[in-house]
Amino acid sequence: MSGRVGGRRLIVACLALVLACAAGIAVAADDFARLKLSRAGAGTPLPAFTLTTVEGKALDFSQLRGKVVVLNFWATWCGPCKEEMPALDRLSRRFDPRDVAILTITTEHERTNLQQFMKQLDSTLPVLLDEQRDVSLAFMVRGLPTTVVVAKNGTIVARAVGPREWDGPDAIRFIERLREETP
Amino acid sequence: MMPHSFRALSMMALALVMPMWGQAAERSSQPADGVRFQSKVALDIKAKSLAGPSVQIDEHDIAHVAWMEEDSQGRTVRYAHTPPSGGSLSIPMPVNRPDEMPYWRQEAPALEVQGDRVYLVWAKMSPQNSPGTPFANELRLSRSVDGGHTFLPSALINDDGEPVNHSFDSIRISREGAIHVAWIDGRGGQKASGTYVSRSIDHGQTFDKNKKIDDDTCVCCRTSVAIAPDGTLYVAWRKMFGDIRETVVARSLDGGMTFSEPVIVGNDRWNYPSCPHRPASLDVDGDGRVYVVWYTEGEDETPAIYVAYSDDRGQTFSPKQQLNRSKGTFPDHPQLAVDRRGRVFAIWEELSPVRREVVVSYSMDRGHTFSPPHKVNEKKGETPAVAVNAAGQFVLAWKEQAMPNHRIVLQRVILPEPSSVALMERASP
Repeated sequence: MSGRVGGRRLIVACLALVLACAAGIAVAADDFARLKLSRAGAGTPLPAFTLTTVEGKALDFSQLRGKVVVLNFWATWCGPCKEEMPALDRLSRRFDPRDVAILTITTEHERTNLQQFMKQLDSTLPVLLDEQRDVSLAFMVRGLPTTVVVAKNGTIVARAVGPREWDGPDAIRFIERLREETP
Repeated sequence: MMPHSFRALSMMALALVMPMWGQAAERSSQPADGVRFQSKVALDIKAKSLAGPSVQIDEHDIAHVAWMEEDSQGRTVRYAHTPPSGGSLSIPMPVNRPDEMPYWRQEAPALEVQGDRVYLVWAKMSPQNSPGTPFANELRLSRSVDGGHTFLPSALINDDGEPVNHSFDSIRISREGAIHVAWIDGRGGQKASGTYVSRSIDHGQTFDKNKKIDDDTCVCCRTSVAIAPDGTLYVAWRKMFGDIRETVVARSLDGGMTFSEPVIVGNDRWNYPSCPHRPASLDVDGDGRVYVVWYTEGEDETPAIYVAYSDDRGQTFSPKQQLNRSKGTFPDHPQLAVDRRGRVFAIWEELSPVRREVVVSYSMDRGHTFSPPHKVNEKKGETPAVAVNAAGQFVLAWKEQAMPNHRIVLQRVILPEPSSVALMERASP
């Protein structure tokens, strides 16, 4: 009797797990649809690069493993980029930087002006300089803004071309889900 | 990927002239269609960063190049030229004065030559640049009246005086010597930028009142200007129709005083709510056929380079023809030059995470058919340009990564006679 109950419980637990997974997949698919994310490059490991911030601090991408990473490619001449930057900044403030790294990358050179611009926005987002376009090309960035989301296991999950409401509930739920995943 | 600290070691101020006679070019296969790629000439530049080159070729077969470089001492717009009929490049000359800090933009200075006059358009950090307006710049024209040996103080082109970005410029000179400049700026606090033009009829000392020829300009795709033998002035740019991006052309029949409504060239229906940062390029042959080359991803979001032409002064365009054929790379930065007899030369980048190639494709029959793309670079190449003079002499230029230097490469190309199709078309009324 107890064995049958145990068996039923196991079946129920398994069903619950299957349903939970299915729900998770549904949410994930829904997130992709709502945020208009593409899976281009999904599963590809984050390329190994070292870039320097506008402040001159080197950042090795390998240091980011274990975190959800949001890489936002932008430029100062790109209006949509500048419009979405505050939303990215607000998104970054919702998460512990030990869990989620939100980084911006530009191929531009105007260090002082970039710093001034971020200060104007009251943004603390790191600005990484990709002056030779190596990282932009590694991610096949064809237009700006392009945002690439990387899972904690260091593989690319999603890509957004064009601005998004990064501090909206859909984006927050998407990042939260990735944060909760086991690497 | 070179570590950034290593890059820092390459920040040196001295420009080094190094002719690199073209064994490499001679080793590479020549196409079997009579097109002859001549020996390459290279200029190695020890600078942290380099934007460019732009290129022109004059009636004496002198090739002119310009670029902007940045090193630990600052930024400099530079210019160099070859002797007539080829040879190594001259010692690069600074174009801006030391107290004129160029604004670093990811594009070459716009270059034009006419006789001994050399004209360069570039952006200068605005005196109004402040923490509140960090990206303000002025559009300036520098000119030389001695064949590029010295440059006179620059003239201001934009007349708005606003602390906004003025950039993505292009320049052409009419047969009569009028200088026409087109560019993009966002004056007046407009959310969407506009396409602007201005003209100088005193050899670049002063510019006319700026004219906006259109609104809703895609803010990051460089303009292109061309002038037909009959004086018709054409401007190409990318226009936003909501989230749809289309390459358009407007024309002026009165020397730049008024412009037509822009005409869509390819009807690409490319839905792209962001910045492609890719220019259109246009030119005109001796019979007035207007050729346009541009990048789009179209409705199916497939990166492609297309060419089309117009025989009615830009009122309608031919069906577009795709030029890129490579799989596994995406095309970028197309440029085009056309000679009087309708020989068309297009050049662009083919990019992948590991490849940066410069390829060319040409047409001997006024744009009806084009050759398969032909790779011209040796090392990683980018930002190609092409020019042709009145005698039909073509020159290509691009940048290569020659660590720790940047390398500007020039290559002349001799094209065969136009095809019978082109000759018949030109002979018919």
